[in-house]
Amino acid sequence: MTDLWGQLEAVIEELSRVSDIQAAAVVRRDGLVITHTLPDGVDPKIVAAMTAAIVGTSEMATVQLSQGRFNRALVESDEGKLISTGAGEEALLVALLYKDANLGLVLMAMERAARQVDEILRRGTGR
Amino acid sequence: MPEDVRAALQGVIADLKRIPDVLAVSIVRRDGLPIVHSLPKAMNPKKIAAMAAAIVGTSEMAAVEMGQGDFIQSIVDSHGGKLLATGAGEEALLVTMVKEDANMGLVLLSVDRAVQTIAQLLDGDELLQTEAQT
Repeated sequence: MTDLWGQLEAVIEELSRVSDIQAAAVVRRDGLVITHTLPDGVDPKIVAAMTAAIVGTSEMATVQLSQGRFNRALVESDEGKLISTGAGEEALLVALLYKDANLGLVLMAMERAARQVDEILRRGTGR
Repeated sequence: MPEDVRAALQGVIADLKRIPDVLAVSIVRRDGLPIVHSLPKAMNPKKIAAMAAAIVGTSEMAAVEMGQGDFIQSIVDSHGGKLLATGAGEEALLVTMVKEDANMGLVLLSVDRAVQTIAQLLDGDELLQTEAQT
């Protein structure tokens, strides 16, 4: 478990090094924190709960509007952006971005990180 | 809603629809009721309005809880396409559905311009409320 956690931490630390990403976290789909690089002022529990809520609503909309499988949700606010994407069956990857972030670069880095998180969790649970 | 406002809103969505990557456009109230739309027959305007309001409600809560300032826009990216829900003044949302591989730079530029026009048309129009209830 320690090893698994260390691997996940390495993935999000690498993701957080992308200059436009303020912080990142891996959370469970039910809204609990797995690991994060959030700054002190941000409550990881709130980020995890909000991410799960956003993905839940977005997935409902995707299904109701027959848009196929959900990929990611992006919430843009006055002071920043929040991107949530699935990372395997059980986890979500979330990144907090600065307002003027280069989305192309960030999305590429997130796709790679989400694949890595999925692989790590699959290995960890022996699936 | 006065007919000229409705016509002006329809003009705004017609302009957006002209972008090749845009599949459907709708202006809805923040409480989930449709105002005007330009959707293909297969799409249910009430459903789209309700889903957009649900997404924006959750996203606004997240923006507030995480100290990110006022909500601007939410994009749900799925295999079948992207759904953009953008705040358009105090009372309305602009919902834009685009192809999965759309040129987002162009789409976002046009959406930004459209929400500004919609906000100008709707804000201060108190007749809107009575209209949407009927």
